[in-house]
Amino acid sequence: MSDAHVHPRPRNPLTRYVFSTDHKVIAVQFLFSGLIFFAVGGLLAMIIRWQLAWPWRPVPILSKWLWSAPALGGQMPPEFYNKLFTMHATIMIFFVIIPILTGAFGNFLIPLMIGARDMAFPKLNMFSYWIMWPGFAFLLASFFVEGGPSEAGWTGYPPLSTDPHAAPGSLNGQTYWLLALLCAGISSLTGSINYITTVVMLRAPGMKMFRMPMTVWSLFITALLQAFALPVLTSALVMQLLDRTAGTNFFSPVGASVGNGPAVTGGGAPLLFQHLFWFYSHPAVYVMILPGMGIASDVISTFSRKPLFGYKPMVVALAAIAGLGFIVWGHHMFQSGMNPALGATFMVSTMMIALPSAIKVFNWIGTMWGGRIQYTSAMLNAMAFVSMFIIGGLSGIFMAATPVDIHIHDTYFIVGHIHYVLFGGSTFAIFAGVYYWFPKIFGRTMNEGLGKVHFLFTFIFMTGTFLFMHIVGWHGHMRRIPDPTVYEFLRAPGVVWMNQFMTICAFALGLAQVPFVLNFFYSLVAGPKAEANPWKANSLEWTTASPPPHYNFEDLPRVFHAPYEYSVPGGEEDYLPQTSPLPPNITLDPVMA
Amino acid sequence: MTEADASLPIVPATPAQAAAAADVESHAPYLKILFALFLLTVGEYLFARFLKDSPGPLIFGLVLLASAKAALVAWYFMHLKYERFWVFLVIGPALLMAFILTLLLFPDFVMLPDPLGEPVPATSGEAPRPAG
Amino acid sequence: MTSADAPPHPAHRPSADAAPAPATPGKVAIWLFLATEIMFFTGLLGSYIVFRAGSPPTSYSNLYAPAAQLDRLKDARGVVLGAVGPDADGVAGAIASATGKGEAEVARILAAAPHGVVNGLDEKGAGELTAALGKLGAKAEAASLRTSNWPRPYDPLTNPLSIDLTTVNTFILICSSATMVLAVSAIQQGRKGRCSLFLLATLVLGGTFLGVQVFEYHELLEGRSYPIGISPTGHFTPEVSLFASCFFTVTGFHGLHVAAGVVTLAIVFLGSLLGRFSAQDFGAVEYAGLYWHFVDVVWILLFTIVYLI
Repeated sequence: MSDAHVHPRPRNPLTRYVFSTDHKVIAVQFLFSGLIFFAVGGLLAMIIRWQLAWPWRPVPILSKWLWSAPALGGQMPPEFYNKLFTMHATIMIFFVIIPILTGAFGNFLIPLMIGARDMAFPKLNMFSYWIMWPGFAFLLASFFVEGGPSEAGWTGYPPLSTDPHAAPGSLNGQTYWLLALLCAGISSLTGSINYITTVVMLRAPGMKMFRMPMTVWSLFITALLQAFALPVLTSALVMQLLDRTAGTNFFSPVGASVGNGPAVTGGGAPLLFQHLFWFYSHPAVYVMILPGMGIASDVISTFSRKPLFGYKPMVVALAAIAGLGFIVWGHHMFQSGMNPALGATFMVSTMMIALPSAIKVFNWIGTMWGGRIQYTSAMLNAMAFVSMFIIGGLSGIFMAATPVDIHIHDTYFIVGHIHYVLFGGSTFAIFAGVYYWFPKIFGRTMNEGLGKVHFLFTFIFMTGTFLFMHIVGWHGHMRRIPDPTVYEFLRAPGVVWMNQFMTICAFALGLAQVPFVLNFFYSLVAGPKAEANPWKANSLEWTTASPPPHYNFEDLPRVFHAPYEYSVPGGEEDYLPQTSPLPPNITLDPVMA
Repeated sequence: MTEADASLPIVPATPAQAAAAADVESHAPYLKILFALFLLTVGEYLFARFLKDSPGPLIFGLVLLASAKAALVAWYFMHLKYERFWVFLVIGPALLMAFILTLLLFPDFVMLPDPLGEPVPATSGEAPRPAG
Repeated sequence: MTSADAPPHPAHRPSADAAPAPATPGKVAIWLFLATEIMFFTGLLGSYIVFRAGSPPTSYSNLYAPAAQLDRLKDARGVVLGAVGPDADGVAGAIASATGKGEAEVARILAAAPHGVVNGLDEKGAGELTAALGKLGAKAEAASLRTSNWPRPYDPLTNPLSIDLTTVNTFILICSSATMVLAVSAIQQGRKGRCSLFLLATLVLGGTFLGVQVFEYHELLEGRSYPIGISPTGHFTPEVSLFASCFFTVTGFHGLHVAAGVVTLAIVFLGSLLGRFSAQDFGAVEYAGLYWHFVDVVWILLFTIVYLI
């Protein structure tokens, strides 16, 4: 790395803050756009919950301008409910969790944690952020086109999504949805190529692969998942787009006709889209959880003041989860009419994922065991990540078993599971990451008291919102229906009561984010200045100033060991930065560390 | 060579090494490969022409010939012959996954029961009106 | 190897193992990009393969439009119109009176000659129509229903693709791949003029390939008329059958990749004219080449799968 990189950041505000090639600025851009969409997606979820608790009752304030149908007396039109859950899931998955985890944390942390001055391709990095904007535009524009946004579910299954007559929102809204996802996909692809190249080529002297922090490992493996799986989704989206616009017949069966629409020539197979979709979207589930695992590993080790228990097994487990993730997609399709022989194959491969997942949970607990735990906001969120991941993971095993899945498929049990993994897992990991790296990103410290209040209420109301979904789901409450009370068995007082309780908890969960927002923006402008290493952590990003200079490191750091050498016997401090050599009397376990 | 360099999976080349590698690559027998590709293309054309009515050997032979062509292009023109192991680490998994994906699509879309084997209701014997 | 042209050949060349190619961030990234492209084309070509192998055996026929319900038409007969002959109006009238087809449909049948197909006949009707057309000086023969699960190569009644033309085109693309690698080889030896020349040749060959493909698309989409077994509208457009959908999607996306490659090559060519590259610094030529060869490999497989099988 030549010293040409050591120069001050650009002065022109346009290249400094907007069209910046600095990975730290791009990370903040991803973070802010992700958090804005987090609010949008959360609002949609609130309206969904309102309808489920009090079906057809006008939503306060919002009914007036979200749907103008005076004939319905302020009632939500049923197709609007479809739009709500479709857009909630689409926004949360493709425009919140993936961009924040890989875009924000990946961009900020990979170069800093491996001791590089920037990404391998800074301009490509800038492109991978700005190609999100056409995606944002398509997504938001779809709310205003005739017929409204997509209502085919975030899975976009044909023929509901391909036939313009299948649902009112499948007019142009679905086409906009496809274009938005294609843009987000290009962003992820270019980003992941950049991350992999950076990790492979630009590590600082001494930074062997097995000296990288778990966060970098997880982001690296996530990037591999995206690079190899996402193009298949891209091809499926392209085929669906052509089905909708160019009249191709990939996903319409022979003579298919929906809602008195014209019959199409057909010959295609709707099931093919499901296969191609899940070939990406199951690995996408790991794209959303693996970075969280990496973040949790680093946070837990730091605040337990102990080495990460079993560093190498943790890396191997990550790789195993990712590798198995490619051959389990069919477990989303047990009920689709898929060949039963395939179903058995996918069931076995899915259950095998429990093994590496259990290794990870065991090692997190082993890391905390006997540690001098510091209950910071970041640590609390990371611990919540572990415990929620246990619940979400275990309910996943239920669904992996075909016979059980036949009962709970497309019920609220699934909804509860996915929210335990994506809210309980990914979102708590995002919070942990924000609390942990906020001082490094912005150079100021967040308020710990507000952070703990935020954590406490988020945890309580998250449980209140999603735990009972398992119970009503087991009772047969199907997902994606606007009014459960049309079924007698869902009119039971217990189910209605639980639905209302979940809704109240969901509103409280939304309110619980207020302290976070206040804390975030107050600390951004007026928080106390952060020191370089506020948490006394080992990894490389803490060896440079907070916030890091434009070129990250004055001199490229030299790395001597893995980042988990806490409480080294005989050391003066209870941490040992990666840039300090190990004391001579220490030998490391070749298998575990 | 420092400790750091030894740790990298991909060792940065010295200018001399890079020049040597470029020299080797630049003297590969490209025109001979082109001639082989020409022969294989002609072979494919003739094969397809004369075996068009026997699908089994046709598909087997054509896939073999096409694979040989693709392999020649990749091996010599794309310099796989001169690359290190890491390139295979990049494209190997992609090829493996491409194979797995295609293979696992077969049970659902190819190995289907024969629709002609099912009894046809004898209610209507009318010819369909051709579209248009 | 500092002089620009005609470097001395070293007496002894090290073996390939002795000098493995160096890895650079650009090369790692381009290979990763190619891996993603492999997966993208797997999505398209894998779908094509399973549709090709798994379509019902009666999906395509010589007498009826693709995806028509044929299970009760095993005894259907038709007449293939080989040549209209001198009396076009008489032929049209004979077909119309034998089948009751409308004017537009009959016109399509005549336009599709020498592969015009008259369907909707029984054995007797087909015989009579053949005889009547023969009297009018037209070339016609009766045909019985022949079904297949996919359009067969060299069958003009179900498959509109021209294998002869595309074989030539395939070889043009392969040649462009060879000139590309010769351009890389030239710049590796520091021969800048030779490199520009080969880059120009690659550009021209790639452009030719694209031109031929545009011509082929034009013929398929509107230039020619095809019999009913290919398309009920007489033109081969994406919506007429699953085969058409697959064909246009797969070759279309390959064509877009070729077009992107041609643009890239044009930029690289301009760079080479401006002397941007040298024996020490030829990354852009090499990466553009890798992409170009990949597009070539995809075409080799695609040509075999889509056209020949």
